[in-house]
Amino acid sequence: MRRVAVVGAGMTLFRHRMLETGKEMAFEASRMALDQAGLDIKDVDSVVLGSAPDAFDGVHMKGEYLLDGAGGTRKPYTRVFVGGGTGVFVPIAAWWQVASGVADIVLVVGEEKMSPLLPHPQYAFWSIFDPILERPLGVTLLWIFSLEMRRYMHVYNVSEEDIALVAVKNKRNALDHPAAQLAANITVDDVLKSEPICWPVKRLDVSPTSDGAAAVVLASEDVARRITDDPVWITGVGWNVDSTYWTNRDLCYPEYLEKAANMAYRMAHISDPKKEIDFAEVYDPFDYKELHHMEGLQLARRGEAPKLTREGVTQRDGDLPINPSGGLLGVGNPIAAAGMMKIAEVFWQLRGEAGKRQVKKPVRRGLAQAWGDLMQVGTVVIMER
Amino acid sequence: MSLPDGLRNTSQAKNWVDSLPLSYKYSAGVSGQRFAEGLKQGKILGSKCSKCGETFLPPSLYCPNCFVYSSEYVEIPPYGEIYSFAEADGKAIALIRFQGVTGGLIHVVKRPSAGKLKIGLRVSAVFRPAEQRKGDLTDIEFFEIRPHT
Amino acid sequence: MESKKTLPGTPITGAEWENEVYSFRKHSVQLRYAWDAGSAVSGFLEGLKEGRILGRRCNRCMRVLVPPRAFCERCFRSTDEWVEVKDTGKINTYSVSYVNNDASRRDKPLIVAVIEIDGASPGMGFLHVLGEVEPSKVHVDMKVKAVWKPRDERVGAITDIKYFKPLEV
Repeated sequence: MRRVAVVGAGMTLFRHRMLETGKEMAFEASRMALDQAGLDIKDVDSVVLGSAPDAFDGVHMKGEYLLDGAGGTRKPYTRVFVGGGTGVFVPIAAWWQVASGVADIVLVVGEEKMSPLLPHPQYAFWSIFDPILERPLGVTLLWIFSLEMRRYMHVYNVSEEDIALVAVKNKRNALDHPAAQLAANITVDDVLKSEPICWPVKRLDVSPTSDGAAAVVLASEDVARRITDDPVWITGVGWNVDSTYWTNRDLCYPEYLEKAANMAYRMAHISDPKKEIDFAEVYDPFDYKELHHMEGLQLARRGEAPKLTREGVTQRDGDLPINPSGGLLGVGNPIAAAGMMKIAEVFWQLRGEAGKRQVKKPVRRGLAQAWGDLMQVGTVVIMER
Repeated sequence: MSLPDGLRNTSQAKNWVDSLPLSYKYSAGVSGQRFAEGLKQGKILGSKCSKCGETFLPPSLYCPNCFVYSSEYVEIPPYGEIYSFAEADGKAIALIRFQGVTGGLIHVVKRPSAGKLKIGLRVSAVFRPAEQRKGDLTDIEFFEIRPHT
Repeated sequence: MESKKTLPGTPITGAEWENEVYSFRKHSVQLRYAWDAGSAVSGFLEGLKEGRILGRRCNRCMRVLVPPRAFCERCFRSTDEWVEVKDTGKINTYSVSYVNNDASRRDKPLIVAVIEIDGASPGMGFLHVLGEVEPSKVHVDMKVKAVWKPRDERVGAITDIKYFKPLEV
């Protein structure tokens, strides 16, 4: 296998609604990533794009529709999809191509335009459920999150206050992110008193729906050495998918994520992730998910993530900074673009280019993770300088 | 696969009938917005690539070939040529191309009073009166065959 | 990235969206489907019509699968036989929904739960709603029982069970 480097990253603003079409957002993010890498579109051998369910924008060949905005015209081009896990899966699918020698330079794009769907983008999620056994009950995506959150709280005796600390931290971190949609200084009390949507989930426990795009450029080792003094290496990738029978597994712990993480750790020769991962961008569409995912990634023991959060370990100046970007809760959640934002953040952090968001301790190795569909997908990328 | 033994005949097979009504509101985009504003002013706007100089219609924020920002929006004279056409329900729909421009417009062509529609005929855009224009392609009422072609 | 002061993108405010200061296009599609339940779930729905909850057993891993399936996804082989399980169970997890699937507010909150069904393998169950109980009285591990629609109103659907209610001891 060849070594694979990240050599550039770019993104648009994340906002509830944008004037730009999906193609235009994909172009803006991709152009910025190519500019950072000092590359022209003709240097790009192949393009991989990720975008979430077609129902958001009602174009049921979204990959092909977005192709020219992602720079894929007349090139080997692929769209990949694993629900919310897509954002961190796109670079994995691109990594295959460079590691195998199929391509030297791959443009990797995450795009999401959620705003067109009326009356609310939330409605699109109805189409992911089992039509026979679940939809007749009036199921919403919020039900399954709140059911998982409640189960997690029950098994590990976690309080709503502990969970709210994550929203407070991430929205505050996002104050330093130029793309951020919901950056704010809020308190635990604000979260607890926010309107209940699907208890225990309250308004401020949830990330917003967003429009946005993010992109990175991957290159083989010889290309990377030629075009940059500062490549960031992808040293581990992992992915794992459980069945859609989500009512048949214990929702307190994401086993599929543990398997995905272990796959990536093996590849990166990591035996003690808690000690060897310097910081992580974990998937946080809801605040409890950050805790859940820290445990699935074995960055905390089961039930231990709330304690680490309380003790400040996961703050930007802590021993194990989690979501220094501000995460989905603060920066926004244009689904596939949000996962790619995490990849970009790990890249910028490792190069020391994160500005006010730069974590305090020196960092050499970071992790990005996403999750999705019916609580069944884990995708993990490890990067090193 | 055979049916499980509890389900002895296919008349017991079940389904669930439901609908998925989806409504959308699309923004025109950055270049689409410029295009719409142009139509309102009775102009057909294309975009020009800052690198290769190629002109695109409808206009695009970027050149799909060079993958760089377009340098400017340019007014395209409303005279084109029928590239291909189809006739249905008494209406003729054509892909109309413009000289020196990549792309084109799909629009209604008014049938000539004498003769037949042909590929290669030259056409021109007939805009609605300014006060009736809404900023979309229907601001062009139709294309008509230019005389002496 | 920090050197770049502003990132690309043109946000549309709520007012700009409502007042349509930009050019917008609206479009609606009405998609209608008849989803086949398949062999195993058709049997399950036939059972519901009769007021019974059915699972399928895999004779390799010996799990009793509820909802039933034609094949065991772990052993990757056809399941072997139908097993009638009980219409009681315990709450694995629950929540209180204040919203509909289009994010609009409900008139009345709805309690939703994953019910582990008695007689199925541990942890096996399905999604349903709770009734005849206040949200504040619900707890994980609470014993519940199905409340069925009258026989003549049952059509072979998951909604043949009206809801689950606390099992009085």
